[in-house]
Amino acid sequence: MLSTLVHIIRDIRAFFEGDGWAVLVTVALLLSVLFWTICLIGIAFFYYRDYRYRNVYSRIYPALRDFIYEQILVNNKASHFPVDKLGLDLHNKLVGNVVRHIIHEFIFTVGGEKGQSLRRLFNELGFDKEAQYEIRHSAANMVTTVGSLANLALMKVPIQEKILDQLLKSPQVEIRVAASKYLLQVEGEQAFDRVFEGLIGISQLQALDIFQTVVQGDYYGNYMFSQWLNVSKSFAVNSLFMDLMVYYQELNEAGLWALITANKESKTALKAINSLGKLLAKDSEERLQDLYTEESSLAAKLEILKALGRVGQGKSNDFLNRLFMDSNLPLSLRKHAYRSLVAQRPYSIPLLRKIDEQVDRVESKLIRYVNHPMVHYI
Amino acid sequence: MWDKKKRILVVEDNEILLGTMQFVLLREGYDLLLAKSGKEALTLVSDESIDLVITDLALPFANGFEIIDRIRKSNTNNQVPVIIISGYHDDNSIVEGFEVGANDYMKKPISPTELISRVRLRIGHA
Amino acid sequence: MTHFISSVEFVFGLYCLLLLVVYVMLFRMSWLSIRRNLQKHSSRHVQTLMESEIAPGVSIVAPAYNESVTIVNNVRSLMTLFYPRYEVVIVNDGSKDDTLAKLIKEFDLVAVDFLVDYLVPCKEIKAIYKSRDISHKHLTVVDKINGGSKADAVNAGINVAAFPYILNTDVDCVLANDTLVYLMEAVLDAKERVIAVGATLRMSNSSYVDSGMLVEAALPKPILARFQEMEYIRSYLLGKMGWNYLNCIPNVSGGLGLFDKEILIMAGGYDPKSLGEDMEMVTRMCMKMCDNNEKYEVKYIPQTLCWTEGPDSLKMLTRQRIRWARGLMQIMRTHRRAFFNPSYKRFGLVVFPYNAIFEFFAPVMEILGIFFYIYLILTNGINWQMAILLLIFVYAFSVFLTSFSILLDNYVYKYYKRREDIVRLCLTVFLEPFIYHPIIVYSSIKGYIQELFGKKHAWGEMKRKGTLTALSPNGTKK
Repeated sequence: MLSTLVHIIRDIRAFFEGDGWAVLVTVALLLSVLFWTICLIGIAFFYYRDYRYRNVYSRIYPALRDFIYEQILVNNKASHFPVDKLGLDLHNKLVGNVVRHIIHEFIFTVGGEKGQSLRRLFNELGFDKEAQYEIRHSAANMVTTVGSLANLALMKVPIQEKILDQLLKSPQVEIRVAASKYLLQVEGEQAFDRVFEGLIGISQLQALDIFQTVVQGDYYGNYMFSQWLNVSKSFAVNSLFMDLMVYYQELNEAGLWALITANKESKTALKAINSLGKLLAKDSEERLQDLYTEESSLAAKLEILKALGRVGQGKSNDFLNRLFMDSNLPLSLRKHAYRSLVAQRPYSIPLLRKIDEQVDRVESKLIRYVNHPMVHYI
Repeated sequence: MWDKKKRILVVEDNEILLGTMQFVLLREGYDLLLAKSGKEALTLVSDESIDLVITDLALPFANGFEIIDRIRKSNTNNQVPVIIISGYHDDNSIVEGFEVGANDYMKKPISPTELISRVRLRIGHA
Repeated sequence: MTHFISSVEFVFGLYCLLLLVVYVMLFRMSWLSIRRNLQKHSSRHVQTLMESEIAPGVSIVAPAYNESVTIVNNVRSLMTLFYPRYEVVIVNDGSKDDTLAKLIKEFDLVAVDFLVDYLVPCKEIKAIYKSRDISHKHLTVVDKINGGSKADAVNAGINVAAFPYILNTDVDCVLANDTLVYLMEAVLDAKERVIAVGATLRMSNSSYVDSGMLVEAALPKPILARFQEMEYIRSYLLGKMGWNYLNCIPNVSGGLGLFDKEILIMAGGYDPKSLGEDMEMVTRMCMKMCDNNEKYEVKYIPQTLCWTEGPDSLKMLTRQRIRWARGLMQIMRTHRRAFFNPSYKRFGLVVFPYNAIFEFFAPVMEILGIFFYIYLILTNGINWQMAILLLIFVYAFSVFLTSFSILLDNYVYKYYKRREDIVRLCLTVFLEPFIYHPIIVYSSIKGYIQELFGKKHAWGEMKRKGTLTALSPNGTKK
């Protein structure tokens, strides 16, 4: 072992002392110069690309804008737009991108019936066919596929079942999420089972995105989101369903408690406690108090106190009062204990009065702080 | 005597939405003041007489809440109706908007037809 | 003697070779991680987080010490960031001027009763101010006794902050409107728990800033600031983005960093005694996560979100760099147990050793190298042809790497609207090794010596020229 090392060192030294050294450095030097040139060309390229985009944009934007104003806002046209009048060469990739970008901007800011007309205009310019083509032929290119799926969803264009299935099973999570969002936007409630079943490996941001897609759809039914809570799934997935439960006020105490007991101290458990509060789980009050006594982390205790305040049935008044008066506890716990008492009015009014009468300087300062109209987060 | 045209201040930093609102409101015959930032809006609010304000919330220099607050505290325009147009869809922003004194809250994307009828509700035809 | 010389040569050779390998790796990794970032970014609708009802809250903590000239505009610009749920905590660190008075007047502040848990240590908080205007209800101003360091002031802000994420910035930094959206996207779109995120910083020295908002970015005109801009671009886009690929980021800059509050507090908050408090904090957070056996990520994103006023005189610059050098040395000393310690995983095996060998030791090796060269020249032991060839190569390589960083920067976004700016930046690259680099090496060595011999650090007050407001209101540039 040692002797081979010595050999290697000797070899390297021999190389360093010989001629190979100079050759090596010269090659490296030439490579550096070459790469430097490539960098300059690259910088020029990026600069030019941006310049061209802006140029085309500033040429197309006024024409397209006036067309939209005239056809959609003045003539109230909803379909069969005279797109030939625009004289755009949409086969040109750059022009296509610019037009797509501009119409997107319009669709994201102008809604209602006019928004629908804009979507149809988008279709009639041929972007639906283009997007259909893209999802079939550029499955490897994540950005294109995701973009096309978003476009198809926007225009509510149907996708062949076989292709959609492939996309939902794509190894790239971005594509799976985009396909799920497509389904949610186009099929609404009918797609719930299919989408929720396949949610694996999503990030919190993607969970948030899916949440947004669901709540921005026109769904007001009573779907059971809680059936998808699963202790073995990631925080992002469980968190999505808890957010949906809170949004649609679907209380499932057993499901949430399963998460809490299985993942003590984790983010999932904290969120489940929080959701119990927001869903006014009044049967969980005592259990939350028990949990408080056994839980050790401060974050969990805070969540429990907040939840008790939200549930607000007055059953936990004495418990909260005890915590508030306990001067050994961290201030944050005492503050939240008091705020939760305040939240339980009218049940807690007699108790609050009693507290007011007997508190000392520190506590009265605490009370003033929590009750201060200008203090929003304690 | 001819009535003076009703004057609307539109505060919005998104070029496309501002343009669209400008187009539909002008067509309805209203007189418009446009501001692309909170700073411009604050000056206009204190200097000009205005019949209605349409404002975004996320704006550079001063956000929509501050603009509304300033309107309510100004001497000349404190009674002006205010419509918020915002990308914020959360309840907090809506509540806060009404707290500072807005009269209406519309979530983006905005329907132009709806916008016009809400404007008419507040200040009538141009 | 010849044996000695060849051994020394060998050590230097090996060092340079390793450094070369690291740079070639960074070259590849920075490209990959920036491409990945841009792809992910263009594949999602930017508005998602901005419109979200369930976006996690962020507390912006910005300490201010004698910032009277710029404070109002800068707070205003922090108050208009685009994000659905955040608060701004300004910590007045015992300013001797009228910083606090200006804030009170502008935002109609009143002192409120308060009680604070000192979760992380800081000097006593004297008062907490809130605004009477409902529209400024997200603003909190903390007035505290001067603690003599930024760390102490930030800690006070952490104690007061209400939300689970902390954005640490300086009041003199100009932030992009969508800073929070970008940074929180990075936090939420990760596999593991993200304990810190940073983004690119650059110089605001010649940019057009109106009332604390960036209107147009421009390359700094003064040469010293321009060198710094170039250095920042290289260190962020090549260095940080490269290490991002391996989840091995050593530092999140104090100018702009988003942190997980729980971990910040668990690690004990910023260290007021440290001269490199930002790096020390990240180091301690990483080590704490390893101690607790929890997985974590420290991330960087390539977009420029923060513009800061760089020191524009030689004196200020050397003072800043001396401080950084001393800070680095302190960290190397305090946390030396992480050095090649397998229980600290990638932090102990990659991040820390890299810092120690290639960041901390680099200036020392350079100086030693120069002495060795002189020695060789004096004893006539030098192969001139070879030496010059090598020098040219090193020069060409460094020019290439810096140009590559500029390429990356343009790949992310075209920040300079004027063509001359890019051309000028590309030309500055050629001067850097001769003018700027020696200053940096000199300052580092000086810092190390001061630290070794225990000289007390003079903080010195950076004089704000108020560039941020000195621009005429009608939009013409200074």
